[in-house]
Amino acid sequence: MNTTWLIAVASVLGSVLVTLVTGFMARPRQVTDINVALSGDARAWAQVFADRADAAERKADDAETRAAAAEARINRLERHILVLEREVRRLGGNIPPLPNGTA
Amino acid sequence: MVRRNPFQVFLLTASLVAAGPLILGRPGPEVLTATLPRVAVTGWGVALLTGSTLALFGVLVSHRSWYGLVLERSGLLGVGGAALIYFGVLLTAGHDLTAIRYTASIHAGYAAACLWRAGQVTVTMRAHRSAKAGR
Repeated sequence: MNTTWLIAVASVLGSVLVTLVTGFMARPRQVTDINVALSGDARAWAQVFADRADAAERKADDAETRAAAAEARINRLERHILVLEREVRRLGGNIPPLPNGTA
Repeated sequence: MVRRNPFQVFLLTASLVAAGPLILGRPGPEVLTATLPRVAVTGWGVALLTGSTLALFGVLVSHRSWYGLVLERSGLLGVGGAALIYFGVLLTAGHDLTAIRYTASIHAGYAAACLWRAGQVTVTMRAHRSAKAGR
C-alpha cells in the first residue's frame, strides 16, 4: 500500500514536471518568426513594389512640374489676348464671338 | 482588461498556505501522516506547494501569455493531484464514512475543479497555437 501511495505522489510530481517542460517546448512560433521563414520571396516582391512606387512618385513629380509650367503659359496667353482685345477695340474693330463649343 | 477568477486565486492561496508548514517539517494532516510514509507526505506537500505556486504565478503574473497558461496548467495538475491523493487516503484509511464525507467531498470537488480548469487551459493553449500558426 505504501508503494502505491509513493507511486501516486511521484506521478503527480512527474505530471507537473512533464506538462511544464512540454508546455515550454511547445511554445507557438511568433508571427515574426513565420515572416522570417518567408523572407526570401517576400523581400524580393517588397523590393519590386518599392521600386515601382519610387518610379511612380518620380513620374507624378514630373507631371506636376509640367502641369505648373503649362498653367503659367496659359496665364501668359490670357494676358496677351486681353492686350490684343484692347488694341483691336482702340483701333475701332470689334471682336467676333467665339464659335460654339470653343469657350 | 485582464479578468482573473477571484475564487481560483483564493483557493490556490489557501493551498499555498496549507502546504507551507509541511515543507518546513511541521506535522501534516493527521490522516496523511497516519497512512502515508514520511517521504510520501513530503512529496504530497511538495506537489501542493509547487502546484499552487506555479498556478498562482501563472494566473497573477503571466496571465494570458503562453507561459502563464503553461504554469497555470502544470500547477493545477499538481494541486488537483494532491487533492485527489488526499481524497483517496481518506477513503482507504478505514474511517467512518459519515465522519469524513464532508472533507472527502470537498477534496474530490477541489480535485475535479482543478482538473476541469486544467482542461480549459489546454483548450485555450490549442486555440492560441492555431491562431499563431494562422490555421
